[in-house]
Amino acid sequence: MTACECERVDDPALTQALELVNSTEVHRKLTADNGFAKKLAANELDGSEIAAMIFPRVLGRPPRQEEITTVSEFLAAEPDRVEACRSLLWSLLATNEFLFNH
Amino acid sequence: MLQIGVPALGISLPGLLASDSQAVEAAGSSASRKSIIVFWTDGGLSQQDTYDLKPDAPAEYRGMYDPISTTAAGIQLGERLPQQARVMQHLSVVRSVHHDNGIHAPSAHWMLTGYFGPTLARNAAQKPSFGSVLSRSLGSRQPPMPAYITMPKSEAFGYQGAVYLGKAYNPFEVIADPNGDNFQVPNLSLPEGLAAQSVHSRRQLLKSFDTFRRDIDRSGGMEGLDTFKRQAMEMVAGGKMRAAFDLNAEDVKLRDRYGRHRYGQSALLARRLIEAGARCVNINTGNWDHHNDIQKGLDEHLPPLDRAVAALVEDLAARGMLEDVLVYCVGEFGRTPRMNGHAGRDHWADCFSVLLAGGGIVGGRAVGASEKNGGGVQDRLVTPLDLLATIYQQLGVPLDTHFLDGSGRPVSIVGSGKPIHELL
Repeated sequence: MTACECERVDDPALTQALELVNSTEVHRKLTADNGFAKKLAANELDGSEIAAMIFPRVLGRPPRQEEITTVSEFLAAEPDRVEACRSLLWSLLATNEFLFNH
Repeated sequence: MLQIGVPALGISLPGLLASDSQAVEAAGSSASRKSIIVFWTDGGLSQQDTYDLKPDAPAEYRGMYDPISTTAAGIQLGERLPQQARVMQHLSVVRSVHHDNGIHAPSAHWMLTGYFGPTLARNAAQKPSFGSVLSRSLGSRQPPMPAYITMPKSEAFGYQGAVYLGKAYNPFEVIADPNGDNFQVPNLSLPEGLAAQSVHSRRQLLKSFDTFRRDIDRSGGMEGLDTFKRQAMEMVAGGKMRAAFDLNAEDVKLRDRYGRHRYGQSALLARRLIEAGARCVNINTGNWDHHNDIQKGLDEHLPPLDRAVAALVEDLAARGMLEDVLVYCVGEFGRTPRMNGHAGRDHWADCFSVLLAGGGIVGGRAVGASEKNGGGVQDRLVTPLDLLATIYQQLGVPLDTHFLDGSGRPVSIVGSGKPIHELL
């Protein structure tokens, strides 16, 4: 991730992981009134369609079958659709795949 | 939306790959109840104005302060340490610590790792700090509390880290000043409007998504990162961590007794974190590099340090915790026995003092002696590795422990060091 690790003496990785998983900045953007999560939730898309929209947008690739299943099951189980969309986006942004590729 | 900047994790893939085999080992398996709180006197505390006075020496050696009696027979301290003098029966001083370097960075490396290391501040650490060794060897006493914590953050030229032990054993940095009005650890509180249930859902989702893509991680190098993310989410999800960091839960009178300054409130917070499961809490206590007008510097900084150390030791004793919690006050070196032309003292590693208490250390002792006017070790030379061997033994780390360095060579955690038997 960093261009030159030799410039970093010793990284307190847990401190930064805390920032990653609980950043108020990410929370602010996810909960913005005109944010992507809200728009996603406002339509009638089903789980596979939602997955087909968010995976390319976050990870730059289509979802795999097991990922589509996870998204569908998650959306079906969550009572609050907007919050569910936020959680989906949040989770993808916190994946190792996103961290290392983007 | 996707302009969200994910904070640089400070973890490079090569870095993780290099450390993964060690980082994934389970920590926290030790049954040891012992832990340690460190006051790091960055810059070098003057031994002759604090723990090793020379009242009969010529004025330029003697310095500004008179000695005062303590609750330990035969031990005197400088007059700016009245609180520690009051609890001296719990404290012991080593007056004959010696190493062979007089520059801040390599000396800090020496005292924190036990080994001589880099000669320039920018040079990377070569050995792990003792906090990281404790973290790796013993783990946290109660996860998800991090084993090793620095406050407000790591200092000492970057030599308070884990190096080849693996990044999982780096300290957790509190970041904020515990004496601040609205002291809070950044990112530990849930953002307003985020339900704990959502945190739980997200943890599950993230785990699923990460597991699906194990194929991009044939080396297993993601394990370390997963550890951090999992631990961070556990810290956020439960209320326990926030409760431990909540100084407002303490009695106002006790907070006052520790002192309403960074030293005092840091010491109080350290006790809370130890109670909640931390293994090693390192408090970085200002800067003691008093080349000029040392009296001004010490008059300002000794009273709060004195109060913080004494209040902590008394509080630990009152709670029945002193036997299990070692308190250690140490910096990279001491200061010249003879005052310089600027009413200050310069760097001095030939013979200087450290303070220890609790954790099975006998109180009221003075080990070793400096020469008549200060200068060299007169009696019982103690090395940085002797000090670390004492700490490791008291906390329950086997002294024959070795860890592989970056080249795969096993390195002893104590080398030639031997526990200071006079303290035990």
